[in-house]
Amino acid sequence: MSAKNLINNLVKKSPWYTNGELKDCKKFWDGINFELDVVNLGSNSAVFGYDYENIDLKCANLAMGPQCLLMDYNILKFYKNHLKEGALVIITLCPFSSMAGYNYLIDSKYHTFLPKEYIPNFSKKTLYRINSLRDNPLSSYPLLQFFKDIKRSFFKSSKSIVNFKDNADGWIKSWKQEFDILDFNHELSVVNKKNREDSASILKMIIDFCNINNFRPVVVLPPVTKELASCMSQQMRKTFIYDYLEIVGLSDKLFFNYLDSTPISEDCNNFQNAYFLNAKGAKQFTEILLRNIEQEFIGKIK
Amino acid sequence: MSVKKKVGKLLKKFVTNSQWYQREFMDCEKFWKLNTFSLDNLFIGTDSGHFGCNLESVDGKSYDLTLRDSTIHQNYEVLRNYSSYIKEEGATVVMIISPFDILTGNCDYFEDRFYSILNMASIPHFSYERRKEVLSRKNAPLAYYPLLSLRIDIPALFKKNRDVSKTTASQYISHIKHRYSIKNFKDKMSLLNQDSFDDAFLIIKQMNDYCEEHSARFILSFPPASRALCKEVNEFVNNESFVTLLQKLKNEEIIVKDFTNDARFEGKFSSELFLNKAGALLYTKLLLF
Repeated sequence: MSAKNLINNLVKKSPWYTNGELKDCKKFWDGINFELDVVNLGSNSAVFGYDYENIDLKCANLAMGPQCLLMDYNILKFYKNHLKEGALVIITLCPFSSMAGYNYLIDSKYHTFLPKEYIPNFSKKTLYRINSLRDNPLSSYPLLQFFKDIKRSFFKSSKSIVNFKDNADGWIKSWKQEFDILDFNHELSVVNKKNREDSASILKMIIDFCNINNFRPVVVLPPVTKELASCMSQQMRKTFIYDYLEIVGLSDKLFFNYLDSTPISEDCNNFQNAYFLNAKGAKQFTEILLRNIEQEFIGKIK
Repeated sequence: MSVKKKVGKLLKKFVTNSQWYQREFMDCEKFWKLNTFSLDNLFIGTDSGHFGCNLESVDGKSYDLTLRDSTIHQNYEVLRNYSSYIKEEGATVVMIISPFDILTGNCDYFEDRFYSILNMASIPHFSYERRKEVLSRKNAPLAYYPLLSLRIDIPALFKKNRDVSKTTASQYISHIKHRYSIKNFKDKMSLLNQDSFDDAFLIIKQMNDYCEEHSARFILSFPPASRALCKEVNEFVNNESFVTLLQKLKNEEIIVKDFTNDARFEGKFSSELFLNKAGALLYTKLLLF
């Protein structure tokens, strides 16, 4: 192994690489299992929201953060041969999934594992750039990160305590900024209305795709802390979630809403910040969710 | 000013002058700095334009908004975004592209640097997240500056920077052939490349119409080709698709100034591809004449 490869392997361990542009890609590079019983799609909330360790089924977490429904659809389409007949497909929504239409961010990271037919903004230039970042991260490894990593390897950083109330306000503020929303009680802007319709059509496409291929889709809203849930008024939920699902024409039987009023959201030890579950919470939530799905909807998954 | 601030400022200056930053935001600085209104002449274009226009001897207010390594579509968006800077009546908009740039007609890929110079509605596949990332790279480049770039940038501190292209003609031609899958410029173009010609025509026509709406004169120009490039350029220009395109442009009464085989530019080249200062001065003068 040459010196360059050795240094590259070290750089690949830096958080800059593992949590950077190629976040969550490793599981796709390593390969997804075949004959899966359960898969879940989704964005960051799904990446942290599911943990199948204690589940006695073949499961895969196909979520990436951030990811819009359009790429959920493309990933499901590409990996459909990995699923058993009658597999359970958990489509995970975020509170604002309805705002991500056809024009939402499609990251370059998909170039590293999907063929070009599945990437709407495919370009050879991006492919070249991202592959060189993947295989030779040293050439774009930032100078300041180098000092940070050296410091990190000598001193263990203490875990900072998250104030859930402030964090929840931060999330709401950043969503408002991202989707140009002044007040959740106002009517939606024309652009956002269009995005909502786009997003609904994509969600419909995913559900239709599942039905055609004999998979069993369910739509899930994972739990959030009560601090964040209290920031989401009834009017906001109506505009961004319930009205949206009405446009999709989703039957109530397929929709599992855990946004609040679950035992998980009561305990703040289940969360790493106001929005994401931690490992402990994810294990609990996955068990509860699969049990509920079995009881209320489809019977035995396997 | 404290010492810390001073060092920070120096470091930022070093990083913004580094090759890495200049490549990430190639030719964008003049867009950020543009503050002259009611321009008489506006120059847009690709690499040929960057090396081909020299505004020193031009009368009236002029500005050069050429972008290296850009496509026709990107130039159209530049024109649309910066048209408020040209004067209300009788301005001239010049687009300088090499004949081969016509092949970029159906390319809708916009690099990251365009997030710093164009409105979001102009960028295909625009995303808010990406914009945030690019603007933070632009404003706080120190956090993104690659470690290995030091290897190039520290020796570069002691060298004089010269704006000369090092690409040779044969490299350039093989790059074009590879990029557009062309075996021979005399052959009939592939369907994909013919598509590019059609798209390029539409975009140029839109540009012309746009300029007409703003009471400006639109000039499309192909710069002189050096002797090393002459053979291939002539083969390409005499290709059936290109001739048809020129005919179509002529039917629309779009002004096309073709200097590809102009003998007056003999010996006025800085490299095998582009004009030198004397050549650029002459070319700009002839263009606006």
